[in-house]
Amino acid sequence: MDFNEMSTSEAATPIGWPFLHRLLGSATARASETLSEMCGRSIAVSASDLSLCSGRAARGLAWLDDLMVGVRVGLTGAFVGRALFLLAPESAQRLSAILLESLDGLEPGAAAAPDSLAMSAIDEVGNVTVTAVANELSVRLGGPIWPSVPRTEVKRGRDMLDAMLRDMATGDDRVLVAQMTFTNDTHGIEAMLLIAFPPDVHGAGEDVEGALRWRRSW
Amino acid sequence: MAKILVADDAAFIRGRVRQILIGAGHGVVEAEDGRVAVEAYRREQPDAVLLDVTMPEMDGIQALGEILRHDPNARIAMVTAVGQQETVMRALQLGARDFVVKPFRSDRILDAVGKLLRQ
Repeated sequence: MDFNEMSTSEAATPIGWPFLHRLLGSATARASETLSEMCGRSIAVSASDLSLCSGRAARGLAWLDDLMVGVRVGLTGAFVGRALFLLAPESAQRLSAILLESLDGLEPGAAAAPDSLAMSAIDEVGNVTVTAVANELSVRLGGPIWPSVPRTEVKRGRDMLDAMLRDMATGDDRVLVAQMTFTNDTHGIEAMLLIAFPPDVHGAGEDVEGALRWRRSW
Repeated sequence: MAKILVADDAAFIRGRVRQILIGAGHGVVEAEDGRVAVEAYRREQPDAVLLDVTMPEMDGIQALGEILRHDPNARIAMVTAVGQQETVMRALQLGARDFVVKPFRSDRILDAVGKLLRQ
């Protein structure tokens, strides 16, 4: 998977970039704190290579052809959208192993096994990451946002993105794409976060694009 | 030391909660779905229960009802994802005494269990 391809995806309007950077900066700090507390060792989470594009452009990303581990979460309330947290299988295995190593009472080698325990750990990482973004969005948009129960599956990345966009059912969705890096000690594990939302969605009295534009004026 | 029943279909969450509770000196009984939780409650008579809302076989709300039918004094806190407020309200009306929202920090789990045990 070539994450550098992100920089060549359809260019998005620069409206709201500072807002998005601040939002993801706060969200990743919150996710770092939760994950570190969860596994008793420092896990730094960072976001980079932000891109805001159409659903069709997002579907064109070549790395979505790969088999991936994905966590899907719906968002309702002040922000209506869908989030998809994606990792390559080997990255999912490395990340889950870090979390599972923190649990007592596991059989030797269980932390490296790609089983339901590992999937459950990835499910929780996806939940922590998306919930952190939802919380920050909620603060900034001034209304509650409710994530759904996360659903983890292993499929081709594009199939999961298609399912997410079908679920939105608007046909002209915007997709925020960010590369997420989880760093434990010196090892970085890469993942992708995609958040789809309709451009005209209204919530808490202002639409998302409007909120981005308004924030930029500050 | 109290005996706590932890019911959650997510193995990682059960493992994490087990670690938090054992670290605080409690004993833990685990259940991977609502039906197993009801059976475990009858068999083990735990001092308190942490019950996930969304589980296969029998969900947390059904399991809550079954456990309270068996023991109206059961001390149960629901464990829920953000966005399940209506379900949490229903659980509280049915007799759950507290709730914990996932993703949670260990101090929140210990607070909830401490509160249940003091009741």
